[in-house]
Amino acid sequence: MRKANKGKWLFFLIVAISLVFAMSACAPGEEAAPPADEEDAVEGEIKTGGDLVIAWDWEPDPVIDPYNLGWGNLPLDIFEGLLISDYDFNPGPGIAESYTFEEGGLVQIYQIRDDRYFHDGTKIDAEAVKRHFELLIDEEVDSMSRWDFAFISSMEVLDEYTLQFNLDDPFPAALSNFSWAGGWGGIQNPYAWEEYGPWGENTYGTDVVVGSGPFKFVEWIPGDRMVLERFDDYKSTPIFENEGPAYLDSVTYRFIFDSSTAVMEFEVGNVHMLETVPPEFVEQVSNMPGANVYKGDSWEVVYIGMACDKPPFDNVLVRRALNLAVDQQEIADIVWMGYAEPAYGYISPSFGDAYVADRETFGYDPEMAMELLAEAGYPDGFTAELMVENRTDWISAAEIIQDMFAQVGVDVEIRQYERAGYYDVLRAEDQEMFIRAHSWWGLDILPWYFHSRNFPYPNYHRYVNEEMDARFDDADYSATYEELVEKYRDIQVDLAKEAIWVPLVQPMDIVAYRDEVKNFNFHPLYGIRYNVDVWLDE
Amino acid sequence: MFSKRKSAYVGLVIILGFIVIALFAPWIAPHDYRVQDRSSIMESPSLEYPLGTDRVGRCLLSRIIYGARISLTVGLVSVGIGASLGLLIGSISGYMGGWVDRVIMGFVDIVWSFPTMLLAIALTAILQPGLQSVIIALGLVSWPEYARIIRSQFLAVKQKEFVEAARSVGASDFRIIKNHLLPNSIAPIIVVGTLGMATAVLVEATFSYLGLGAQPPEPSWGSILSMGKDFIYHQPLMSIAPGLAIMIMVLGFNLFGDAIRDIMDPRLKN
Repeated sequence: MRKANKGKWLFFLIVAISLVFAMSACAPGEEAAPPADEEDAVEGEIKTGGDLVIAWDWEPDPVIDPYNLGWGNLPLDIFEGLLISDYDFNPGPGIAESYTFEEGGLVQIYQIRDDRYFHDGTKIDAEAVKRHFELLIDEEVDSMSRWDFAFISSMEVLDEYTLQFNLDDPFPAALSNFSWAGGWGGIQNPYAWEEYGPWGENTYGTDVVVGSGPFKFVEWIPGDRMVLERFDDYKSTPIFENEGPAYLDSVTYRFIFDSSTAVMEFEVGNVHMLETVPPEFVEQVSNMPGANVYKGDSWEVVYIGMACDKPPFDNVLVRRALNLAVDQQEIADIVWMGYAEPAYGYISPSFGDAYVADRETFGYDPEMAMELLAEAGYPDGFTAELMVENRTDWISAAEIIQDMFAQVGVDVEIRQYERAGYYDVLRAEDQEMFIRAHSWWGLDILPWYFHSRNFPYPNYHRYVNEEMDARFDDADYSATYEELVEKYRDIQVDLAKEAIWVPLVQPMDIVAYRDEVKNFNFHPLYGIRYNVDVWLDE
Repeated sequence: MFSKRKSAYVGLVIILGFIVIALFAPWIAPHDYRVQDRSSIMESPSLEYPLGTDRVGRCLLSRIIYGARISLTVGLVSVGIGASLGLLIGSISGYMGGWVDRVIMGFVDIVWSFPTMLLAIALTAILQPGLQSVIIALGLVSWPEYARIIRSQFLAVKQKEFVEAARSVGASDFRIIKNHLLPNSIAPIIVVGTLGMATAVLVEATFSYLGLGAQPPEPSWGSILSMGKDFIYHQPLMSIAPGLAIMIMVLGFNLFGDAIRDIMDPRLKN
């Protein structure tokens, strides 16, 4: 689960209790968006055309297919959800223009827009959307996102553009999941998938991708770039100023894994935007002529995971001791150069009310750590392996952690892997300790990682606790969002005592864009990946 | 001729210099290469830290000094493995001749047809990242060169009269190889081995740069360089110093290797 998934559960508040909600009413005000340059907004000056080049430090893996989400997320420019979140986290119209809830949310009726098409020209109607969700939750398709839509017990097409979802139990996260177009919420043409997917020609996700977003898929050259072209029949939604189609001719995502290369490409103008600016380059990029840097709070938490079923990590005292041995503040200051906050919980404080910090368990107290290790039966410490992906920031963090662990007698051997090799080790279940990060914006991240149904992947922390499983299931089907938050707060309190991770830092989101890029607004959920309003002044 | 000797001396002095640095690292280095002084991150050169500090506050000079140990160890051991394997296999091939020779040389051709770097990376991936893996991988991909050379030497030398003489007095195969063939065939191996050291140093640096070689906190020049490239604007010495160290050591082995090759090449004698 990689970076730049932005979002918030807060918006359920607004919706879970409403019976009828006209979404046009919650279109964002101008002030909702981060301020764009005033002169950019002047109408009539907008130029069309051009190719916007964005550098990514990651690449979709293995395919671009909402039914087969792997380690990466999806290019949002290709996909839209049933709903789209505005800049204030309110769900607004996406493929659906409005929805109504009946019977306390057990019946959800969505009005599909009648002017929308998939990129291959297929008209989007209730039947197509129904088929999409049928495939998404189909056992044979076996999508990892299946659980996120398992709340759908049945669907009925009421008329050409009206689709009804029937639920057995209330599911407050429904609107959130319908809005996550960069992942499981992205709606694609189910008929194209059936023709080209694994049941058909098996070229879907690499050669063929059919969404309905502002840009259509042209080609993907692995390790190099992905090219998208403007979709001329795109009709925008109220969260954007542009009514559609997009101003740009095309968007190119370049996969540049080496940050110094990405920064150089940005400096000479070969790249217009950097999706991630590593802390060590922030100062340099800020001083470049023609460069702008956006910094904001993120959803990211970097942590050390431990294989909770392998000794000595199966002993909670050991896991707590390791937590107390690490001074997160120092790591944030040194490795993230101040562009991060120390982390004391499983999720980011961006979750607001739902966030629980446990400074006692996740704090810093090396003496107590040694006492706990002695109590656990390791008075002289032990030897373990710490696996880290080959990125300079994480390697530096690993080196500092190695030193901190040594202070309490734990001897850690660092092993670096490039990304694919790292995943192979996790899949092969050979991990002991490993540095990872997540930037998920839903509380479902907790069952995603810690529910036993997800063992051994994505529960590669190998944490199995039947009581917790039951509590996750119970929380997910709370009647209201408030109740859900309350239950997840309690869960986090107890999960913290289990010390499954050593939370390290919460890095800031840092994005850079060149002066030529006009009308750029950072979306707190989708980041820089919806380029409907953006135009280039070249 | 003299100019060749001169470069041999320069090369030798560089190599000996690095050997001395590596052997006496604990006394020469101003600090322990592992100790993190996290209140002095990426500092410029000072009296306490002559080359400044790295990202976690370690003395850069001390890390470069200790790094010589890694480069030399990898060079010596991997060349040792490669040359020994090559000697063994090449000797058998050259001495036995016939179908044994054809089979072995066929195998050498197969191994040789793989891109060396790719084969080494694949081996490291299988073996787990780490210095031992780099050494083993380097040894396993470099032996065919030695085998080829020793075989061709054997083919030439085993026709000589003194070998015939030894055989006629009933010397065993092993004795003939050990006392007569090997001593008269070994010279080219020394040349190839010296040049192979330069290659090994470079390959080790490359692997460590990619994260496949020395694992933190081991101060391989390649990994220091890899970390340094992202901080070239903050602490340029983090990339320049290990880069220079690699360059000078490789230069030393190349100068020395080239010179002794020229010296031993009979065609270049007057």
